[in-house]
Amino acid sequence: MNFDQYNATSSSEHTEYHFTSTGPKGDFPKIIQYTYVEEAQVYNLAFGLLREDGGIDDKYRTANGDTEKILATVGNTVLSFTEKYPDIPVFATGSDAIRTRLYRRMLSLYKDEIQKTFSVYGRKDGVWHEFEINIAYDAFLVIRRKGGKFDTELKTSANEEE
Amino acid sequence: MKKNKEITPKNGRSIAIDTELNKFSGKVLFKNKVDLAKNILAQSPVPKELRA
Repeated sequence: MNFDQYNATSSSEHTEYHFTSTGPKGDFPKIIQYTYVEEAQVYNLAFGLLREDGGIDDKYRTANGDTEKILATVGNTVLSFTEKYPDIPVFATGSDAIRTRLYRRMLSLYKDEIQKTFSVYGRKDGVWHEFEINIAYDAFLVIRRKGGKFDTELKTSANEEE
Repeated sequence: MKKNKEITPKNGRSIAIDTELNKFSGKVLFKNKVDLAKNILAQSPVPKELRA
């Protein structure tokens, strides 16, 4: 996805990613984490502000005018993460109704592009449905398509120091 | 051992490995969101036919 986005870094296992939101309100370090939910056999996607004390805040509004750039960055980590863990669905929902609507809007805007690589589902009235625009879902699942257009081996350029 | 590997998701932007982030691995940073996911998925499990 060639949208404007931040440079992110990843932990060795690709379950944590970090980037810095920059804008008129300042620089805000952000962390993304994919947490395995064993009971449901999915990875939960969550992200938020990494505070100076090392704590996390997923409700803080940085209001840096870069929401789309942040979500594009998160989208790129989904690409990266699912290349490493292609067979496990990724679950996401907002920490509040406003954020959930925002995610829905972004998924709707880029639906065609996203669906080249992922099957996307939304939950409505407790049931999972194939994602369609203008439906008020309250949670989302993305599953990497087998043999999808971009479902190719991870390209790496190793530069290791031992 | 310090690693500085770059990964490039196909059609995505390069992502460098930062081993400093490994300190977060194995910790649940967003417990409220994970608990929310557990609740939602207990009510609405992922249908088997959707899994790869």
